[in-house]
Amino acid sequence: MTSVEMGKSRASVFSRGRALADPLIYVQFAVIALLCIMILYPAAHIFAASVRDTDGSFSLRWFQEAYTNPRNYWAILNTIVVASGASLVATVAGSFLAWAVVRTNIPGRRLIEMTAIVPFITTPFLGALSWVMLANPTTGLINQAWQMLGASGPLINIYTLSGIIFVEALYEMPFVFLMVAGALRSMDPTLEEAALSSGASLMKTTFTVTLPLALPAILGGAFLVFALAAEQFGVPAVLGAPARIRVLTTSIIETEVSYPPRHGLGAALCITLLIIALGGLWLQRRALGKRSYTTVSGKGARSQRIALGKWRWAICGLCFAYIVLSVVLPVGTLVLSSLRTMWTAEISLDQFTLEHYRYVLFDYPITHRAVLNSLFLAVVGATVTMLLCALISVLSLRTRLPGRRLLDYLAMLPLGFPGVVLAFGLLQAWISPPLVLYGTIWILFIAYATRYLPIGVRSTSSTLMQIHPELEEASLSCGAGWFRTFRNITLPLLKPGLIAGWALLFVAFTRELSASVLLYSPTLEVFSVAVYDLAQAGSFRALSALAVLQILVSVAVLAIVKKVSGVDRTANSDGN
Amino acid sequence: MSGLHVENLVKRFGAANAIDDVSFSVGPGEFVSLLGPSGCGKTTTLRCIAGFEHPDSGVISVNGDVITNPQAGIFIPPNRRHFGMVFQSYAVWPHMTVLENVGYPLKVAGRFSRTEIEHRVHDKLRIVGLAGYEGRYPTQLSGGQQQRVALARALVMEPKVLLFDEPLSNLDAKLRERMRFELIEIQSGLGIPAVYVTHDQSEAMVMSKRVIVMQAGSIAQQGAPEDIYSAPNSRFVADFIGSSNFIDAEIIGEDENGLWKARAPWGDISCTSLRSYPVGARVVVAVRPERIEVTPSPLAAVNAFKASVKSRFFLGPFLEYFIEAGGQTLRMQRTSAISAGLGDTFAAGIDPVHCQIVGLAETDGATNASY
Repeated sequence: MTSVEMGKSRASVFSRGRALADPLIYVQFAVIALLCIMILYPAAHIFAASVRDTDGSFSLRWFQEAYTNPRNYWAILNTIVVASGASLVATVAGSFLAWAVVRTNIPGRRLIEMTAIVPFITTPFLGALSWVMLANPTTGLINQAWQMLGASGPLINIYTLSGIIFVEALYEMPFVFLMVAGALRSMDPTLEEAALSSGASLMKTTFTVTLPLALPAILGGAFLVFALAAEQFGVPAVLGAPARIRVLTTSIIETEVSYPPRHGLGAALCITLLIIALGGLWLQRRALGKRSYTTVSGKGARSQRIALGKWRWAICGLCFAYIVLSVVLPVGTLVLSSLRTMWTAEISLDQFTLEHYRYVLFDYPITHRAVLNSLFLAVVGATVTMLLCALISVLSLRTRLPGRRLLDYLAMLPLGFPGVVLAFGLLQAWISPPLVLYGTIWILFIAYATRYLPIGVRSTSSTLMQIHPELEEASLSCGAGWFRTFRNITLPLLKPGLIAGWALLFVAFTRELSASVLLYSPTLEVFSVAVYDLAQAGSFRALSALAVLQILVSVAVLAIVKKVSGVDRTANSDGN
Repeated sequence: MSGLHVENLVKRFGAANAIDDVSFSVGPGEFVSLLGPSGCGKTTTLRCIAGFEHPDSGVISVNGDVITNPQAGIFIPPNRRHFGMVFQSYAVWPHMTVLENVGYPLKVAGRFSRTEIEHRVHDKLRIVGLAGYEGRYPTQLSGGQQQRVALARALVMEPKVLLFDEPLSNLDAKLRERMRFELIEIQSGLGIPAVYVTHDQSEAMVMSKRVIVMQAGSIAQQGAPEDIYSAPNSRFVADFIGSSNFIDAEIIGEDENGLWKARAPWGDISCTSLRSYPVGARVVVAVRPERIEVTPSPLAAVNAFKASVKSRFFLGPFLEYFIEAGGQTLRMQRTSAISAGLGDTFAAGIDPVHCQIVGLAETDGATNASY
C-alpha cells in the first residue's frame, strides 16, 4: 500500500469528528455508568426509602420518628457525643505525640513513630473486643486483678460512653498523628528560627509559631476523626449493647435485622448519619484548604529539636503508654485468650491449648466458611478493584475527555458514605428484581469495591502523577495504540502504586465489618462477621483465635508487599 | 509535495489562541528549529504535528497525505503517523531494557522476527554510540545515554518525520554542545524532515538550516540563522536572538546612499530597514553590542560618534563595556581591550548595515534603558 492510499483510508475511519472518533470516550462512558450504578443508584434508594410511607405515598413520618422518638434521638445525640469525645481525645493526644516525635529529643522516636501503623494491625472492632476482656466490669482482667489486690467493685467499666470514646480515640488517633507530623515536618524551619532570633524562648516559639502554623492540620485531623468516629459500627456494637447505649450505626442495623424491618426509619437515620459524617469531612477540607501559609521550603535545613531535659523520660513514658494501651495489651490479651482454656488473672502453664484454632479453622463450619469467603473477596476483590482504579486514574489524569472531572468526583464520593449507610443502600437496591444480588457473594464484592475505591484511586493517581506523560506519548509515537500503551507502559509503571493499593485493599477487605454485617447471608459469612457472631454468643476464646489469625494475615500481607515492592529492579538505580 | 507542510494551524486553549495561524514547510532532509520563549506555542505546534494535540483548524500533511484537517474531519492518531519523536524528559521506559526500549516500535509493528528486531536495534545503537548496552536498564545509564536510547528508538522505526521536543535541555552544558553536532550528523544522513523545538537560541542557530522564531502563537520571523541575526524584523526578534542595544530615533529622511536617516540621542545615524516609515516617525534601532566599533572603519565612519567609558567587565572570550553617548547607555563587546580607560572619551562608530530599524517606538517611551 502506498502512503497516499494509507492517508486516505485512515482519513475515512476518523472522519466522524474527533470527539466520537476517540474510542476512549466509550470506555469513559462505561466506567461512569458503572460508578453511577455502584454509588448513585444505592444512594437514590436510600433517599427514596426515607420519604416513602408503608403504603408507597410521600411522607416525612420517618424523619419525624427519627427526631422525636427518644430511642432514636438518643442515638443521634450519642453519636455526636461519641464522635466529639473521640475527636477531642484523639486530637490532643495525636498532636502531642506528633510534636514530641518531630520536635523534641525524647528517646525512642523511631519506635513511637510506628504508632502510625497501629490501625493496620488492630481494628477498632478487635480493640473493643480485647478491651472487653480487659475491662469488663466483672470478668475483665484488669478488674479481676484490681479485686485480687483487695478492692471491691470494678476499676474500669468499658461498657460506658467514655469506654466507647476511649477505644475509638485509641485507634483513630494515628490519623491525627500522621497529619500533624506531616505538617510539622514540611514547615519552613526559618519561621521558627526567626521567632527565636527575635528573642522568644523555645517554648514560647512552640506555642506562638509552631502550633498556630500546624493548626490547619490539627483541625483537619480533628474533623476527620469526628467523621470516622461517627461512622464507627464495631466499637459501639460491642461496648454499647450491654449498657443499651445506641448510636446511629447500631440503630440503622437494628431497623433492618429486627422483624418487621423498618426501611423508612433506617433510611431517615442513614441520611442523618450521612449529614453528620459529610459535615465532618466538609469541615476537614475547609481546615486543610487554609493551610497555604504553612510554606514548604525546599531547603534541607532542620530546625533544632527542643531539648526536654529530665522531662524527656516522662514524655517518652506517655508515648509508650499509648503503644501499650493500643497494641501490647489488646493483642497480648487476644493471643493469651486464644491459647487458654479459661479466663482468669491467675496464669499457669497447663491452661494453654491450640484447641480454639482447630475449632475455628476446621470444626466450626461458619468460621471455616468465613475464612474462605474473606480470602476470596480479598484476593479477587482487591485485584479487580485496583484494575478499575488504574483505569479511572488514567481516564481522569491522562485524557482531555469532557467527563474526566465527573469521573474523579464519582470515584471520591464513597469517602463520604459510612459503611453502614452504603450497605443499607446496596441492600435496598439489590434485594429485589430486576437484579437480585443479595444472597450472593457479589453484593459484598460491590460493597467492598465501592467503599475502598477512593483509597485505591488515590494510590494509583498519586503514582500516575509521578509518571511523566511523555513515557506514554513515546509509546503512541512508536506506533502502539491506546490499549497497548496502557498494558505495556502504564500498568507496569503503575506497579508500585498498584501493589501498595492492593495490599491496603486486601487488608481492608479481610476486616470489613460495618457493611458486611448487613449484607452477608447464611453460608456467605465473612471474617469480621464471624468474629461479631462469636462475640454475641460470648465465645471469646474462639473469637480470639479468629482475631489473632486476622491480625497475622494483615501483618503478613503488609510485610510481604513491603519486601516485594522493595526489591523492584527498576528502583535499583546505582547497581551498575 | 514531499516533506512536511503545516498550513494555517490554529489551536485554542479556552479563549486564548495557543497557536494563531501558523504555516511553514520542512523539506526532505531539512532541519528546522522552532525557537521562542516559553509559552510562544512552539511545543504545541510540535505536538499538533505529532498528533498529541487536536488543532482547531489548519492542515498538516506529510509527503502529500493529509494527517490533520479538523474541517474535513481528518485526524490520524499519533500511533498511525509513523513519526519518530524525541522527548524532553527522554521518556525512556524504566521497566524495559535498552533492547526492549529501542525494539518497541518494531515489536508493536508486529512484522519483525525477534532476530530481525535485535539486528535493527543493534544497528541503531551503533549509530548513537551505545553498542553493547542492549541488556542495561535505563536507570543504569546517564542522562546523555538515556537521550541516545530515545534517539535510537525514534530512528529504528525509519520514521517519515523526526520530531525533537527540547531533547538536550536536561543535559549538562558540555554534553549538550557535543550532542548538537551528533544529532545533525545523524539527521543529515536520513533525508527526512526534522522539526526541532528549543528555547535555546544558540542551539537553534548551530543546528538548523532554517530557524522559525515564534512569539505569542505566531511566527515572528523565519529564515537562515545568519539572516535573522543580522536583519531581525522586530524588536522581539532582535532581543530574543542574541542581544541588542535599542535606540529610540526619529526618521528624518534618506541619506545620500539611499539609506534611512534617523535622529539618535547623540546625533544623526544612517540605518537599514526591512520596512518603510514616514518622516517624523519614532522608531527603534537595534544595534548588536559587537557591532559598535572603536576608531571607526571607513564604512562605520558614517555613523561615528563620541562616547565615554562607564564600566568594563571581563567575560573570558570577550570584554563587555557600558558606554554612554548623548545620555544613552550602550553595551559594547570587544575581543580585546580598548585604549580608553574608565571615564575617557573615545570615537565610536556603527556600520549602517548593522543599524537595523526594528519597528515603531512604544508610545510610553519606556524603551530607553533596555539592552
